[in-house]
Amino acid sequence: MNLRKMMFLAIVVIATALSAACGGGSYPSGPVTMMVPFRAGGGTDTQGRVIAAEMEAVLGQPVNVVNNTGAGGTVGVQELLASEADGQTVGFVVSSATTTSPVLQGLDYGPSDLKMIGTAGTFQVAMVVGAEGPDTWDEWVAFAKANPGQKYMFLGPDARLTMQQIAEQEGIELEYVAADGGAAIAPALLAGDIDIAFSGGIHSRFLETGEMKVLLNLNSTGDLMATPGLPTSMDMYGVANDVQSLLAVPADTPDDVVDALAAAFKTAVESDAYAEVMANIQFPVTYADGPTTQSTLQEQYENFIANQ
Amino acid sequence: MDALVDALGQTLTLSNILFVAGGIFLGYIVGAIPGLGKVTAAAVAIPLTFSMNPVSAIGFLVGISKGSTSGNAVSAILINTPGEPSSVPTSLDGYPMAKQGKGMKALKVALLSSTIGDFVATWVLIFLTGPLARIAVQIGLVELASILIFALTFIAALSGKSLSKGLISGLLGIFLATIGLEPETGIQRMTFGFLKLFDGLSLVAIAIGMVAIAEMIVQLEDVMRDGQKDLTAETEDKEANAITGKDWQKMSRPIIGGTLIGTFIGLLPGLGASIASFASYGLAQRMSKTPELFGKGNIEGVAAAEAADNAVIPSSLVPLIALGIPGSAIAAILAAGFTIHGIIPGPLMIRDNPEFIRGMYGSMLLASLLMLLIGWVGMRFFARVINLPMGYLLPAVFFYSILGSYLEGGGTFGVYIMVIFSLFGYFVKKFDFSFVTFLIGFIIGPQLELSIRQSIVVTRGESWTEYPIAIAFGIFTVLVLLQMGYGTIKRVLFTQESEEPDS
Repeated sequence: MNLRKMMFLAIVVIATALSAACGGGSYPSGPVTMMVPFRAGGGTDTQGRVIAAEMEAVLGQPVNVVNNTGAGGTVGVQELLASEADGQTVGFVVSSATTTSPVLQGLDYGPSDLKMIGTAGTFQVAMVVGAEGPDTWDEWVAFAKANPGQKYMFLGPDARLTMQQIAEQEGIELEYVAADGGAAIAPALLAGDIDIAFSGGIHSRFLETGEMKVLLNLNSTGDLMATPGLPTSMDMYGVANDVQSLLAVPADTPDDVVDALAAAFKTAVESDAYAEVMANIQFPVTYADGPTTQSTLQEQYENFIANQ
Repeated sequence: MDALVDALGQTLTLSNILFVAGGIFLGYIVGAIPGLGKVTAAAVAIPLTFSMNPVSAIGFLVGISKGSTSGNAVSAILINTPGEPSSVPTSLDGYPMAKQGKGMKALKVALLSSTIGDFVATWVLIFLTGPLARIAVQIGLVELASILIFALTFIAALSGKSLSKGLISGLLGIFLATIGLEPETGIQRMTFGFLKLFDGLSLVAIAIGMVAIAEMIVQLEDVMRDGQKDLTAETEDKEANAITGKDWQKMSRPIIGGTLIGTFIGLLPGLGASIASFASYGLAQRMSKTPELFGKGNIEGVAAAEAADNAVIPSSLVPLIALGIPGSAIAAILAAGFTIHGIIPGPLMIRDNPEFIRGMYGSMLLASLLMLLIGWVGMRFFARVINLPMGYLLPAVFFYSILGSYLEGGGTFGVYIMVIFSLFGYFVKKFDFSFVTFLIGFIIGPQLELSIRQSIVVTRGESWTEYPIAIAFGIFTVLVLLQMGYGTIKRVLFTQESEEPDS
């Protein structure tokens, strides 16, 4: 055997060994794609990008954010469901896109089609009024009963349904105005075009100036961060509009991949960078592990179907 | 005065100047590449800013957005492939100028107009953010609907030769824009259960296909028939390349008009740069002494579109800084940049971060000046593109168009949409229908639908005297329609008299 042949053999052997060491079952085998089902620059996207950067440090592979927008997040979730269950594609999504939205849009999936890696934070979902509105929910209900035709602005069919269920129980008649984005309620309330609105969290910026008041907590558990002690729609009416940000993969993803992701996700959610971003938008970090998230969402899903 | 000194002190550090200049340079290149726009550029750049200090980070992002808006004009003018929908009006007159050998002049006009629009709107942002934001809040849902309807009227002027063909393509645009989930109830409209259609058709993919690719096919056809023409960006005649005093006279009105329209539209969340540049172009044509020259290489058209397109960016920061409401896609990305760097867009942003705000204003002014400088140098380089043989140009344009549709059109599906609409656009061009009114219909349609539906609910039980602004725009609309209708009726009557109907 001449030198050249030996060299060639050696290279082949080393290359094979290297590729086995790199690709042989160890996760992640390459860059990870993180689907965010909302457009770049929004609240969920901002959270997702910070989490991606933190997870990258743990996983040792780039985590690239891709925005697959549409239909309140259900387009992104369905694309996640269609992706290969190998952990190379993960979804940073909102809980409502896996529970209430697919039911309302007549889509054929639920939370059990996904494996939840964990919960990151909780949206501050509430009914809010402008500066001239009443100070408490009870006052507003009394006022709305006496003055039918109050204008309610909502974002997405979930929020419309929540108010319809409340109005039915209270015997209030309302007008429903559709919004085209989370920020749209601010100018509409400030201009006095509408009387009450569903807020996914933007109201926190207007509390200190007194331009908005929060009346009802729409999260089923836990106080709102900026306005503790409010009544919840769950206690009063048995309905809620829970929205959590969470990481998920298709249900048949192997356990070792899920474990690796869960560890990286936990580190990312508990990082200082994520805490800072969440403090900025006044959302609480509410970490929960995969199994807890899974059972919470399943419960919300079944509760919602039962209430329909 | 102290504030100004402080702003300059923060802005004029070497590192900050480099970040702003780097942002503009990157943005200019991305913008000049057909098919790629500022939203892609800025979104991709956000992670790059993680480790920068807030003023440099925002300066970098502002640089990218300004640079790419200005760079978009380059591809729109030289090869008729606008980087994004808002520079389509620029190509309407810019490209004919390039074909006449006045490409360099068109580039100069575009750069100067965009710098002026941007610079003026930045000063408006600096001095009038507080009061303007409060005025903008008075423009509610009903007023927005009336402004959109008004905007439609002078856009109708862009129908081209045939009003009916213009209306047909406009209505087709509105019709195709209804595809997707209906905003109130989430009911599917014309999606045929197809997941990718839930979010509707991508405007960027449609615009790239209809304008850039369709144009490339038409050019290819010409080249195959007539052979490659020798085009140069500059004629031998030095006079024709320079912007003369006469040109400035012609340009001044469209620039002022475009700056005002861009600034006004930027203030109102939900309208955006495309509506501003189309509206400004339409208005400039109406106000011009020589409206018949529009679309044939008139510098007024280039100036109007570019001034408005660039004025939108600073003024769309007014609602963001004053109220936390992003007025445009680029403002939304800047909002993410703010949040990551610990600055919360909202009513308390100026109070809580006065130093940062001053630094940002300084960076924005710096960016205006650097844009002029980089653009002036850059255009000489980019102008050479026009001499490229089709064999080199075509593959590059196709490649970047596919890339742009993929990035902003929702993946592979965006590329399919682009391909379908490039064929559609080709036939639209061949049969002399207006792709401009199609795009306008597609852009305005969804917003018009939502605002009108919102207004119908919001006005229930209210007195009409509560909406003076909406009523004023309603009256303007009727007046403009009457004026347009008067011309048409006169022409119809006149032609009927002259050539007695034989039926």
